[in-house]
Amino acid sequence: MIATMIATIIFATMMDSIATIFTAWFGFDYNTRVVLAGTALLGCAGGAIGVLLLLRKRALIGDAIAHATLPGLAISFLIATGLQWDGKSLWILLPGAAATGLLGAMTVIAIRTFSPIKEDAAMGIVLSVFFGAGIAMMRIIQQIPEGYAAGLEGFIYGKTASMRFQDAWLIGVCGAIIVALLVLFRRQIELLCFDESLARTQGWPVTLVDIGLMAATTTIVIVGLQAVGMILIIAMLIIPAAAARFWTWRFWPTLATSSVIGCVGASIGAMASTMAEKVPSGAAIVIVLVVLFSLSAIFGRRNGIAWRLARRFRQRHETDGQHLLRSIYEWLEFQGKKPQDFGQTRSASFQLSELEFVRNWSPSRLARTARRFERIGLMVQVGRMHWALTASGIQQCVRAIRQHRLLELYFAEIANLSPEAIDRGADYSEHALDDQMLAELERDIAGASNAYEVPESIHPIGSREPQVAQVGAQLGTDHGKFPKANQE
Amino acid sequence: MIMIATIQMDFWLDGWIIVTAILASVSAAILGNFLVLRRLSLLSDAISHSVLPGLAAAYLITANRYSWTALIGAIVVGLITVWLTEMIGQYGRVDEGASTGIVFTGLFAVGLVMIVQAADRVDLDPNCVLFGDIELSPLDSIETFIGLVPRATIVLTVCCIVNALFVVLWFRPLRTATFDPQLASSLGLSPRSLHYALATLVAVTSVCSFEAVGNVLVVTMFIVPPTIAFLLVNRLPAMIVVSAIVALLAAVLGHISAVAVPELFGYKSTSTAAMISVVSGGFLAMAILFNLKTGVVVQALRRSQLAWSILSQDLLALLFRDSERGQPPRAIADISKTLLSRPWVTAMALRGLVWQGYIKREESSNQAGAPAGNGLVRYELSSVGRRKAQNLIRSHRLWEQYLATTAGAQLDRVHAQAETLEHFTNPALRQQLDSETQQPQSDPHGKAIPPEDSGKI
Repeated sequence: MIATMIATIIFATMMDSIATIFTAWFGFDYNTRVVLAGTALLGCAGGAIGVLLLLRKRALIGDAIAHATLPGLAISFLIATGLQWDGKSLWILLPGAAATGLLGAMTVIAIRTFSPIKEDAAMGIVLSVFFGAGIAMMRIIQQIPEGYAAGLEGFIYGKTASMRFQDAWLIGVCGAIIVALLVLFRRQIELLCFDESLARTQGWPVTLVDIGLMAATTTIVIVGLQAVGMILIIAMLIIPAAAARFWTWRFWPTLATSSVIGCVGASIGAMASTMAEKVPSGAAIVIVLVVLFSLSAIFGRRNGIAWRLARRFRQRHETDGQHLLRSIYEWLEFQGKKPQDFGQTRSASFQLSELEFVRNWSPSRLARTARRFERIGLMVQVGRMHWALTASGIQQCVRAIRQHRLLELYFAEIANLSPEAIDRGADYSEHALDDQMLAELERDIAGASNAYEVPESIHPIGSREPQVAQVGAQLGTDHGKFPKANQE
Repeated sequence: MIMIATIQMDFWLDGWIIVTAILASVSAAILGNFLVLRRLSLLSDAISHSVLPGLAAAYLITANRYSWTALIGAIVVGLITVWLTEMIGQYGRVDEGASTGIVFTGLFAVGLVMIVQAADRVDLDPNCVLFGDIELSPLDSIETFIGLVPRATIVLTVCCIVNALFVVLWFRPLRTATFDPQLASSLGLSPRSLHYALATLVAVTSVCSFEAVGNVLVVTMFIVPPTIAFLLVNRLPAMIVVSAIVALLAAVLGHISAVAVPELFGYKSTSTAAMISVVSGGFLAMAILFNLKTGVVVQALRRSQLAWSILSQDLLALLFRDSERGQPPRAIADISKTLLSRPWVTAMALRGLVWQGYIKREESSNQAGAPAGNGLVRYELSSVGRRKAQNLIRSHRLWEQYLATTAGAQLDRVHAQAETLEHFTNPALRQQLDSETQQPQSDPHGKAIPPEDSGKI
């Protein structure tokens, strides 16, 4: 309770300060400030709850709850109007909405428990059937004189303009209570999200916590109906949480990130919709949230697409480079002009097109890698079409081929792989070898004596075997007679 | 009957509304079977929401409600939805529900903004997006060889035929991919492309029924009739047929109730699409409660019937044991205390047994044999009841003997197990038990095992 009070105070202060910021920066009037502050808090609380829903794999239950609020709104409006009360008062509409919303959530759980129908179908059923009932009643409400101006449609798509100070307060208080509960039950919630069965065996009331989560979700949905509308409120729960997953994988940081993203998205969206007359605020908020999500998906430190692409690009560069070095060595060795690690400052020359006999390259990729090597000083061009390795190029080249052949030896002698698997296996794993593993391989395979020598290849060189043999024969070297790859 | 009598229907108008509703329902239900079985129900929700920007774009381009552009736009956006959902699920490491939610809310919001922006140029009300306007569909009619036909009806007829053809022609691959995706891919059927084909048709169906039922209520049509069929039948072809029939019934009843129900309260008619949804929901509730396989009520009845028969058998066995021990007949309170059942249930069961003739009910005056305070009514086995009880006791003791001697169970546990097993033992099994335990004369507790009574009088 104390925590709740503290959180309420903090939230209230935050609301004031957010409103002040908006005034100071953008010169909004008082009403707009209230709306913005309320929406920002809604985004904050929605983001926090969304993380829990996401981790419990219940993200779309929020959608079912949101759609299920419509009949509640309609019924409470009809009853209130029948009793000559003010049917548009939130204190009448929201309890009704909460009642059918919770009923919807319970129906999903009941259908899943008592019938063989799966959860996804149960959610779709509740969502559409409750909504259908609501629509049927709305059509009738439109026929009664008070009903036409009811503004109940505002709940469907969201209409921030109709938000008053007390509504913003309601959102603030609900958000505060939810955050306080999160803090209070943090252990149970964390345990429930990550290991439900452990939570059960430790004796935590899992079902109760689950129902609490449903209640919190319903609360957020209800207080958010005005701002975002029932169709799109689910976005406020899911999108910030999913976006946060691109930034961190730890629980509390995810919760914080998600809240921040929800807060920023909701306030920018609400601002945009107050400026652009016609855009429904729900749609504006969702679009901003989607933009934030896309930015997270691209630039997020965990799994972000940009980082992923960069990593892949770097890796491909490295791999290409090692492959080129290896094929140069193999080609020169095949011609009997093996690059010497000591005493040579330039290797024998070769043409890039010749390397295609050793390995399948796309010419452009080969040329690109060659140019990169030239830039970093591993290769120099000696005449038209002819290239040679520099001293450091030779060093790298010998290193690359040693890695490959040591691995091949390892696979052949210790791992006992079949001949077909050896080259391929070495090809895949040589790029991941670090110095320590290389040293271990040297100790195990080659022995300390010939630590700097390049082992002979244990299989014929070249991806196009017959042609290599042909070229070898044409060149008149004694390497012309390679053992055939399909010898055994 | 009262309802129907009060409705006044315009044959042409309501006729076409019903036909359109049926076509929309049936074409969605046919595809819905595969969505429900593959646990993709929410795909229909996602696609029906996300086709909005495609539709809006097409409206903006052609300013026409029905056009090839709209169809192509919707298909493209539908496929993008599926693809994006897969991508986000894969890279964002969130479950399918969440990635679906992100994609469709985003696309729907974009579509909404487009529609609102273009509201001056295109006649499309954002509210109709959600629940359609099937009542207005006859207003937009075109002349055909059978007379004036609403455009929506023609479009939905084509859609229905296409869906039916898809399901019929690709039935085997669809079935395999639905029930065993691994087998399907090992047979070279490519469940992935079938998935995309299904998504395309869901998008097409959503678009075709958009005007009529809107994008939320079409979800009902996709999911609810197949779910009902899933509860009622076991085989896929039967399921498809049943779902189509349910869809048809829901459409007809939905329109009738949309006209009739509000009239009962003195209002004019309400949305047909919404009422179809409500009626389908009602059908589903009935199917959940009363279907013969898994119905909640049916199962509860079965359970109580079983409990009832077990209690009756226990009563017979108790009376048999009492007479075996030479105990005086008991009163109900005593019996229910022994059998741990509620007194009124015991009384009902006893009454049932009396009615069946297994038990004799005796109104006794206070005789010397009766213990004090046991009331006036006493029960005894009739000769038929004695036979039945004898076999039951025989089952019980044979099981005890079998468990103690052959199965090697501990002596203090055999009674409880035999107490359960006795209710599920038929004469053949008794015969088998008897021979397996070398025709014993008494059970491990030393009680005599009564002989088999073949029941012939």
